[in-house]
Amino acid sequence: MKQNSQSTADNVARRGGRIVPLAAAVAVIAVATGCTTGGTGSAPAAAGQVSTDTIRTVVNADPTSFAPVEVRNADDYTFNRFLFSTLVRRDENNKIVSDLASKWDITPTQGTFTIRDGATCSDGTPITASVVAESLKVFASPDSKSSFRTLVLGDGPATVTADDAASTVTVKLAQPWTDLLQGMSLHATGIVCPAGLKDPKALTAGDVPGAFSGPYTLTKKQHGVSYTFTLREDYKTWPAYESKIEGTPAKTIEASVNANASAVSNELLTGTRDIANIRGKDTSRFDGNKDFTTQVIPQGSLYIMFNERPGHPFTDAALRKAVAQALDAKAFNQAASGGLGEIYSSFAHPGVPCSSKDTGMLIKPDPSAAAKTLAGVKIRMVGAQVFGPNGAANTYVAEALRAAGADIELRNVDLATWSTDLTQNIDSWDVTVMGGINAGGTMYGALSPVIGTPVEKGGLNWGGLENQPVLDIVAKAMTQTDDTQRCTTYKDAQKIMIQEAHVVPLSSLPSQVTIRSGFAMHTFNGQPDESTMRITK
Amino acid sequence: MTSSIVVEASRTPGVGAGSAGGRFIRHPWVGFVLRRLGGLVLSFVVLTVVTFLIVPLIPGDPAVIAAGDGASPAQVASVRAELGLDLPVLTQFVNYVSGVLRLDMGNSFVSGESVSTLIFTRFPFTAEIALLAIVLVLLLSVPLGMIVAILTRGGRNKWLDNIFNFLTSLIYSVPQYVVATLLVVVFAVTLRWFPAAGATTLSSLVLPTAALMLGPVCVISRIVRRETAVVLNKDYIRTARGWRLGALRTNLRYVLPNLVTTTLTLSGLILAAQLGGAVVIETVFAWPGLGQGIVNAILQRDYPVIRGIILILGLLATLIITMVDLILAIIDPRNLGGTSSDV
Repeated sequence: MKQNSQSTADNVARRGGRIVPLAAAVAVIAVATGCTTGGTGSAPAAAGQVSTDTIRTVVNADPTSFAPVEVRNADDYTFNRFLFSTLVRRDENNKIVSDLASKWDITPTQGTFTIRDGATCSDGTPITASVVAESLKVFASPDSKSSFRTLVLGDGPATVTADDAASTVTVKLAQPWTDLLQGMSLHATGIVCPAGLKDPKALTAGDVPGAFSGPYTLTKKQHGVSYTFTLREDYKTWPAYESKIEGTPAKTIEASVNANASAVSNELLTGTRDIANIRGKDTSRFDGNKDFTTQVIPQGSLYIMFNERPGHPFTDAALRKAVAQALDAKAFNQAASGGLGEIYSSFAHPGVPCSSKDTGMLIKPDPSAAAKTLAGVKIRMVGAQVFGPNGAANTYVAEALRAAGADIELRNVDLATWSTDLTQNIDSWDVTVMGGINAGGTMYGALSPVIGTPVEKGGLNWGGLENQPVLDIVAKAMTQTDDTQRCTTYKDAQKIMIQEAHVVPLSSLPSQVTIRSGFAMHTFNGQPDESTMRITK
Repeated sequence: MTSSIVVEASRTPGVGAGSAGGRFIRHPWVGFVLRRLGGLVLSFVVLTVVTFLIVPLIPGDPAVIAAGDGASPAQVASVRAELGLDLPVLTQFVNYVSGVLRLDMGNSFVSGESVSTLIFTRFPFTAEIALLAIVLVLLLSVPLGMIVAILTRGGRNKWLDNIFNFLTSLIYSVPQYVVATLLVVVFAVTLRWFPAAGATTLSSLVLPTAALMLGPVCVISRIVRRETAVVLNKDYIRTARGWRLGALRTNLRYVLPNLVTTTLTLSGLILAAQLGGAVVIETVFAWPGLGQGIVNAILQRDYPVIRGIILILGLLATLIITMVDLILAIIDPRNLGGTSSDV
């Protein structure tokens, strides 16, 4: 044994040269390090120290597509705003202002848009009426991949024609749909230039430099790491916002990919990011910090949605009302966002045109009355964990119903499972907390998850009850071009939905736009507009 | 068993016991390499089958996620068909396996990009912190363990032994995500010496690497300390001292080599574990490696990306362990599985 050990020791000692490969490995790693991290070796910038021409922002995830008709999530919308112009934009108070269209004429079944002079694509191609029409035809096609098509054009076919001589584009609808004008401000209707339309696959990947009609071009992308946008020197046709947009557009916008709100907050606080939208408890880290301006915005509205399909308990209006009586919106808001959110009086957030501010419509909390109706009722609840820390919003609802005597079973699941259950496993749930994102920002967009054709029959309605009286009201509103008239009509729809407890409005789903001193970004009607990012010093 | 093989082999012309071919087949290295290659192939087969089968067990429909918010059932169905999720499971499996064999792991359900490209983009990030961490672990833990063992030999410097044990136990017992968070709070947010997140500069490497290496440094230094203490009591060390060899020479020539087997074996296992364990660290530091990639892919039910990353991480872990076996066999032929006299 002794000999063996010593022999081994000698053998190994004779191979002392193996220290060399170790040193080589360190050198290789050092080189590799330089490859992935850029290798400037500089320390992070101190808080408040900014570069003069770059804005560093953050997105949660890689974009699913760079093609406007394929946008699917908030990060897609962000990038879309950098790259593509739309016909019109929404200013504060939902005022529609000019983007690529200098003026417009809207009737319930048609919209004619006059294209402004001087707009060009990123490859220099003039943006004419024909260029705009060809892009909108892709959006309006019956085979359109856009989940926003119905919100903008209604269910029926739509025709898009161009008159280059008059510089006009006309959109004709099969049914009255006065949401058309507002719909033309949506990112999904972004105008894709001819080079992008020629190669849809490359457009999806963001690989067509000449496809862009907006202020920036995509100049670098590193999946999972960052995306770099460069300001077009020839871009002069900025949207004609009436709100004052202060500051200078950044020559470069660098968007890193980071879904961890704590890490994003750390980056902001240590001076390595300038603008970010953060959610959850990290928002409080900026309270009272003079180096930052913050604005709480609603990412969506949280409300109770029932499964009203035959055979489910909440086909009974008395039970639905009892659920509304069992819940306290203030306590819910505390659970969902630590009180950061706003208590809502409608299922549509206040930035949506015609959203009701009338708290008198709401069913008042009355736990004792709720207990009389809910005692012993078996309820299956599914909730998404994203609503509150670990789904605390769902837990609050479940416990409030349990306190009212209901026999409740709660499944707190991740977003993917939740949306699958609501749209595919439609008999697996009775009630849920709905997070209405309503990226379209229209009343119909807010109503669509709870009225109309159910998902199992090809529609967008997750709740299952078609609700013809409300559909009739929506049809009437879509014939009205006068805003006051429309809002009066939509108030009737909200009254039915809330007082018959098809929905129970609760609170906003808040996030916080956090901006370092020296930078700015506007939010219009509660929605951030990333194309308004500016450097202010 | 061995003799029967030899007898059968000797009946084959040119491969007889006395021929060069026969000697080649009976050479311990041939059996060793064949066993390791067999293990690699088996691991590949198991990983391929398991990754295909377990991923769809995650609840949630990838077509619903890929179609996005507000997609109509028709759009979801269209996406499902585009992704090939409407095909029979057996067809999906055949397509998957044939793709893997052609080094084509398909495209991401979410972004449409090639999985190989996504892995190729993310892998260097994970590799650099994992490799850097393991090199630093070896450079720190081996000398640290040896020095403590030498200084505390024979019950001397009991205080040092106690402090060493206390600190290594304490640091190792703290969960990795807590260590990572503490590092961020102290060195990024408070002192601002290093970036808090991301992979933008060389200094971005410091905190993630530190978070990855602290635990393993504690474990390996404790093991090295223990192994060193055992070696220091061996007769040949006493003999070396009797020859009045210097302490440095004795420790480097006769103590250190006897630690290599244990240290290398453990380091290989730790490096393999670091690849998977980087998930937590990459999330805390927003480090764009495979760990963060697989978390995102799971949340988005991006089957091809989940499968691709698990397959690559699994194969890498197997390769690392095989390489460690190889190095150990080179260092000490007894690890070949035969006797040293065969060599």
